[in-house]
Amino acid sequence: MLLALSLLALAPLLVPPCIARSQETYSESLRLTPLADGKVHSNLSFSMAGPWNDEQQVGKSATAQHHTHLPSALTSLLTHHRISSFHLTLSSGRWSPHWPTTSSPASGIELVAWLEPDEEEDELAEAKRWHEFTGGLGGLFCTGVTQGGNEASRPDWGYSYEGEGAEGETLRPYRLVLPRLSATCTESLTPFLSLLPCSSRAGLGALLNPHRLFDGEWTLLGVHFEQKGGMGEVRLEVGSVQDPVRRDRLAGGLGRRDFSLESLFDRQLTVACPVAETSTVKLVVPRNSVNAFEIQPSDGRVVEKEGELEIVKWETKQGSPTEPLNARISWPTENPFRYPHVSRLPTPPISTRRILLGRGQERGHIGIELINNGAEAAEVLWVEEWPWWVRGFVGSLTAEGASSSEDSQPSVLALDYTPPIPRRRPTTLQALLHLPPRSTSKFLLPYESSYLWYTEYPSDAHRGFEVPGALVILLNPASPSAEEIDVDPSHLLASRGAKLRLHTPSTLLSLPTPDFSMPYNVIILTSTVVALFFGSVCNKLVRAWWVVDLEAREEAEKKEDKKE
Amino acid sequence: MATKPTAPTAPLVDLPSRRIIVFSFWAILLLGLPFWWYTTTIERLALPKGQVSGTSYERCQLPGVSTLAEGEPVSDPSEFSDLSVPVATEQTLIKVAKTLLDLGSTAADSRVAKFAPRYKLVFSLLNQDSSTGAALLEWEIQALLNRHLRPLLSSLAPLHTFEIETQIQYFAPLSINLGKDDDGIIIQEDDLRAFVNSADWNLPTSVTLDPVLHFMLFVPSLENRPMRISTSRSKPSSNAFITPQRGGVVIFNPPSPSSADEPSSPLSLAADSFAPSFQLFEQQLRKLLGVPPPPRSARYGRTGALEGWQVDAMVRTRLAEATKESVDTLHAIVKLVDDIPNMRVGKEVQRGVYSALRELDQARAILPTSPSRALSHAASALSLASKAYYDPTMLALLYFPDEHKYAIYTPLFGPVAVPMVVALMKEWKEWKERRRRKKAAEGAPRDGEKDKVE
Repeated sequence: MLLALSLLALAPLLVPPCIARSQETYSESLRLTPLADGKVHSNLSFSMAGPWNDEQQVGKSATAQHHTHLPSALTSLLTHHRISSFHLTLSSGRWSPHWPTTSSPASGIELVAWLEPDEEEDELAEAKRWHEFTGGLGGLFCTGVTQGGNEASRPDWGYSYEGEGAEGETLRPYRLVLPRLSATCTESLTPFLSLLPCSSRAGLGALLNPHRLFDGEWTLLGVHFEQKGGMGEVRLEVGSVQDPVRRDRLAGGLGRRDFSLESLFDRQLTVACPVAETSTVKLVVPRNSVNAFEIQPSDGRVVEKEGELEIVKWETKQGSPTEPLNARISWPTENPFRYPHVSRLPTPPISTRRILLGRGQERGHIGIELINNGAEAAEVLWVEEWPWWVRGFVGSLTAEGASSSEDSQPSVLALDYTPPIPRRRPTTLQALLHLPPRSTSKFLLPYESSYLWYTEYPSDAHRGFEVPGALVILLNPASPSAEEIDVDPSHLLASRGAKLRLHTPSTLLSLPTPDFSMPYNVIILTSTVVALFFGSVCNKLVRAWWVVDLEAREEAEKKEDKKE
Repeated sequence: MATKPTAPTAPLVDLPSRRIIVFSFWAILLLGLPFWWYTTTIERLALPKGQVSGTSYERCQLPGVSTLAEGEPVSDPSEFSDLSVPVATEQTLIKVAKTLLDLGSTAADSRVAKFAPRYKLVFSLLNQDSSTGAALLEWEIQALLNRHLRPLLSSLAPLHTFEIETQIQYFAPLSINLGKDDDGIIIQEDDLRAFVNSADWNLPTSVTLDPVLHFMLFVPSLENRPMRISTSRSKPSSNAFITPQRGGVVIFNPPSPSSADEPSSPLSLAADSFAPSFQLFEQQLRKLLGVPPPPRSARYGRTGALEGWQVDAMVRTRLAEATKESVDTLHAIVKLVDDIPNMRVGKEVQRGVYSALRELDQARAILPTSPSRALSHAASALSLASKAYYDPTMLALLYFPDEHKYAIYTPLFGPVAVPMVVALMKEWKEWKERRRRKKAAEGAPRDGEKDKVE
């Protein structure tokens, strides 16, 4: 009894009076990659992480959410719509197959999201939640990110949930692709800057100069959100490929490929962001460069190995306060830069391109061409989403190989096809493909494009209609020990992992387009015909008909003549 | 008379049947009119106009106000606050009671935010420039909220629920000019309306339609400290102000860093240092929500939980406000529909108006027994009415104007109308002619015979 009492007395002491909240963290990094063709790929990444979904009670009628680094505009949107994870990328320009990458974004806007499961919610309510979420994102970033009344395409083969938990297995992604871009969407940094703790006033965010970024050959704006272990992580990504050779020529030079932070962004790194834990600038040391090069400044730099790559790294916060960090690389003996021959450019393991064949506007063949550059056979996931007005005939899907021998033919191992419902659901095609080594294969299926309603045509209908690019995922080779004879293809990506994700650029398809003055012409023409017909009938019916006795009249006339 | 044709014999189509033909054409046209009207008319469902115009704000008022006491109406609630409460004459008690009951009808404080059952409160710590050092990079916000705002928020539970969001901004530049005097940096009172720099400060908005109240703790950069607001001579200079219906700002000058610290390192302050600022926020929140001020002499009710009578008075004020607002909105809907004939009135609008009226009736019915439940009915009436008012289908059909109708109808009806009108006119002429002749024949048969002979 006494013991119990003393325990009770101690109880308040055992509970800490104020539960210390784990802090939110923020880190930023910039990675510069000189490419073999003289261009530079710069990728800025800003990552904010903090405890997720820890609502606290203030009294009985109020709940509070506290954030320091995580942008509240985004967090309130995500918690309100209960989003587990999402990726939004806006890109413009064309990613050259010779630029090394493991993942190229879809051209245009792509949004992939996983919604938190809710047992009480049916499919329709969940779809509604998704629509509202896209609307909210549209308000936050750009009005284009909305999908009017359509069902989302849900290609679960090509996207695996990267969060944790068993429920990840059952979650299916929602995906939205908008191939057509307006400049207001991609060329506006403001919504992205407002999500950064230091905006563009300090730290690496200060380098974000829209005049330079959007002047590049290719640009990317990305927002990613993931939950892991009760923590939420928001990662913002800004990518750009620029051409220092062109810039040098414009400035009157012969075309050197030297570049520095200042020459790329036209801004200086003067103020450090006070809340950034790490703020690094990385420069990938070019390989196979014939001419000698030098990387400066030498103080404060660290050389790291990352796989086969060598990386020079600076910590911007440790830079001397008097002089801003201006990382640069130059090729002193090289003037001008000579473009290497195509054969000397690096080749990716597979490359792909969209094929669109056919005469007329109504029918044709659509598909992709896949080139396997590797010495081994490859397994590839192919995911397509077409608008409802492209109706593919999946039964006639053909796989064509260049080689003649039977065993080295490409083949379709598994197929999943969701036919379109006009005005409600897009076509989704998912396939697992087998590619023989060193081969070029074509996968084609016939399609038929539908007529749209008169009001559904945009004002520039004759420009053509954009069809989103295909997603091609090169899977890692299967480990020989694993038994995956009967593996569901939708789990293939999660179990084997992607070696390379490629998106083909979007294509223009011309639909049967009416002459838009037609309705008025039809109205006028039918009105005229009706009026003419009606007028003559009415006239005939209404006219007073008399029988005139011609002989009597002639005689009367003659008589009168004689009188005269 | 030289050339006179012989009179023709009788027409093939006799006159009566010709007349029938002409009139049957017109009859078909006229019979078609209703179909044409029905197929081209815009859907306009009937609204309960009589019921709406019969609903007036006064009918939803609290009973008994006017019967309480005669005498001058007390318009300023603060008038009674000088009273020492325990010993009061009958007259003053009546005055107090009347004031409490009458709060709803007095001119509302323009600072008070519009009524909503749910508010979003955003507390932002804004550093003007955290890179110059001595910035506030963290605050113990949960403890501060618990200490200073919980009592107030809890006692408001019958009226509102709150969703609180807090954030820290590290760069919040000002867009106004700063003055300087011996005591530090001063901001002119006139500049305060541009103090909140919405373009550069990321003040979050609401995902839902709940109104947002922003409470901003502004920390000037190191070189701008101490900062204060310069007011006219009569009033003491202060460090806080309210942006009406939107929120409050408190300028917080942190204690100067000790010389031992590096000037660029951020400050870390104990929760106690923020206490005065959060008391100001609490006061601002009271003003924004329209909490009636306690008597000046009273020691209770200035901070912390509210007294029962304060909550009661608020319920009454808000009830009156919500009722008035929803009645006004309903009137506006009816007027709008009457004014724009080219506008669709769909089922959703009709349903919204009917449900809003029903909710208002329920609020009125339940008012004597439970004012707070009446408030929730009035609140839902308000939201239903405004949902109907802002219904996206309530738009005039701009893309089908009268000019287009003429362009489409004239090519058809013009050519059709010409023979029909001409036929009608002919028929009418003939009919007149025949009547004239008939009359002439009756009046002067000889003349008629003479004519024939000729």
